[in-house]
Amino acid sequence: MDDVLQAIYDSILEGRVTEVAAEVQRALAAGHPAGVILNQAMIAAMAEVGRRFETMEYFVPEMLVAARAMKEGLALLRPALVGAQIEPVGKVVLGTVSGDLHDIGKNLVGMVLEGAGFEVVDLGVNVPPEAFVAAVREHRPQVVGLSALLTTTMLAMKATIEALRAAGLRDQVVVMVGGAPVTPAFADRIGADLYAPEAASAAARARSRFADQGGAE
Amino acid sequence: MNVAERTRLAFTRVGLPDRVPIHAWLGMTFIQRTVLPRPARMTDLFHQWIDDPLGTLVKWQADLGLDPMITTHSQHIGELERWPRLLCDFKEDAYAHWREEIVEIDRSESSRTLEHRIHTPAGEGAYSYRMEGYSDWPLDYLIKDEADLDLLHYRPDPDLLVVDRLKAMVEKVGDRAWWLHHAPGPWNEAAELRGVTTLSMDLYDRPEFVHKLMRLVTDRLKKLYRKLGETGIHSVSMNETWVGMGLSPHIYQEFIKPYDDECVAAIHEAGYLVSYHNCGRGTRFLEDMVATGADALETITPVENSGDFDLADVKRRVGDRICLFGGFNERLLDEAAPAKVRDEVKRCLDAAGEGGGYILRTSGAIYQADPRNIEVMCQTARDYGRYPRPAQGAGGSA
Ligand code: B12
Repeated sequence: MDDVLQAIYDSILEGRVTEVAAEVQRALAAGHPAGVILNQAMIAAMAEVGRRFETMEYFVPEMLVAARAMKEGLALLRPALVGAQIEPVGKVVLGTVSGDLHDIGKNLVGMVLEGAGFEVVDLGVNVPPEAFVAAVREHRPQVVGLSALLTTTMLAMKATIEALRAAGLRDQVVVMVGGAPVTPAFADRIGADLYAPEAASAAARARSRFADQGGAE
Repeated sequence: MNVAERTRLAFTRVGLPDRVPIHAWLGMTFIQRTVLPRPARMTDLFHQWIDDPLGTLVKWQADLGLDPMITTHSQHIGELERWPRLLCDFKEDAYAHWREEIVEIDRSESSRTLEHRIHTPAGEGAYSYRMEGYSDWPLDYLIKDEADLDLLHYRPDPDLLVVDRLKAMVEKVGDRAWWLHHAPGPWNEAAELRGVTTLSMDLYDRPEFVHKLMRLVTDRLKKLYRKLGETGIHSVSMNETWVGMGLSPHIYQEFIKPYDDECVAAIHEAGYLVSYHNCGRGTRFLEDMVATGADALETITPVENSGDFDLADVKRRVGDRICLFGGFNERLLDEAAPAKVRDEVKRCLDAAGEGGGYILRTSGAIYQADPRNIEVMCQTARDYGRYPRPAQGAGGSA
């Protein structure tokens, strides 16, 4: 990999936010195409972050600073991406479901999704089904991300999916669920479209879903 | 052998109790839905508990077969609970340099949003949170930047805490229940003041700031722990829940453990026991948590319940140094068949019962459960948890 791309990759991996910004500018000035910077340096770095998280070399704080560095770099790259007609991957409405106040995991997922090129609308915690429905109407996202950490509030995920269905919006969005007690079997049972066990794979799965479908409708 | 004697032996590991103690923490939803004949107002309940702990908290648990345990707790910042304030509040002059003005900034049918504005000689600060049902959650935090650390010097002084009510309640109960008072650990309190997501990034952005915050918080907590020594409580659960979110051993060792060590030492100096509370993940720095000198480790949450501990592995690694206080997957109490509950009890006792130093305890609080399953859990533990223990495997399940 070219030096400056390698530097971006390393800075994201180590969560060095100011360096990333400077290096992205340097890479653009050196004539690297925005798409190359994004894919070869930045997305590759986040994939490595995800791998290290899985193998327990990285933990929550390391993942948070890496995701923030990615986000910062992306903000600088965005004008160049737009110029190169590389669109944001899609829009995600994200929240922790009704009755649940845990947000560390949800925040992390949000940051990693932003880092992966999604636009994220974060509704916060304890979000009732009606609020998800309203946000889908307002923001027209391609993805709705639901987080739950309590066995009792996992049921609110089902209620949220049902509310989307009742509002006639279910087919317009991909529903992605996660949180420590959520399992792939549970995700299936409540009719979710995607499940991911942690943030990096959430972003990867959401991205590949869109690649498969050739982007959002 | 009475309840306190039994649990004390398990905590201190100086000898074998007659059987493994059995504790659980009954959550508010379980109490409201299952224990009480009809739901009650929280404040009324708290008054009843303070006035008559034996006829309420102790009786309910004993009726289910549990060894009763009383879990009072100290106030956390940003918390508007009536229970801690009813039990211990500060003398008026504790607020001389820490004036709190509470302003309602939003209200809906089901929730209220409040802002606490704090006036101190070092300047003003504010934090806000929303209250709904039994919970309240922060919207923003007191420590917004480094300068706000100065405010913390003026927090009400734990030496001025009036603990008479807690003390009277403890006296009423005596040794008929184990007293586990909950108070924050330093990392938890730092997270409550700063917000855990920001604090996690501070670890990398401004490590010195994190140490400063931890120092301020620790110094004050040590005073609180000393004050609690006047009440006669048996033990404190030093709440380090936020440690369980997933931290590297390196971060734990550098930013948290030194402060935890000091708190544990302060509790011991004050003459009672300490249980280290991490209800999430931590198997990677298990030995470090044990090396804080705590007497017990809770809640040893299994993977099926979002933790990362394996009780048998924990027993092997640190069972000779600390009492293991937890490990039972309480999710089974809700809908599982009684046979499954029995198997889970036996799994825990086989994994950790040997040689004492084990307390059977649900790894989380009980929010939803079939009370018959709690009875099955207790009966199985009473039979199968006797000391000396039957030879492993005899009468047990695989
Ligand atoms: C920290 C914590 C808290 C903090 C939360 C602070 C905050 N701002 O979030 C506080 C102290 C406030 C708290 C409160 C409570 N908690 Co709590 N808490 C935890 C703890 C220790 C860690 C959670 C965490 O942040 N993990 C770190 C993050 C990064 O991991 P994560 O959330 O799992 O997220 C990752 C994945 O799951 C996934 N993911 C998450 N969301 C999403 C969404 C999508 C779309 C996708 C694809 C992926 C995804 O990606 C994330 C990143 O990789 C867990 C134990 C645990 N290990 O889970 C208990 C735990 C979740 N809490 C529990 C309980 C019981 C409570 C309380 C009820 C306790 C009480 N007595 O009041 C309250 C509930 C409040 C409420 N109504 O929600 C129990 C739940 C038990 C159960 N069976 O339901 C647990 C399991 C502890 C235990 N062993 O008993 N808690």
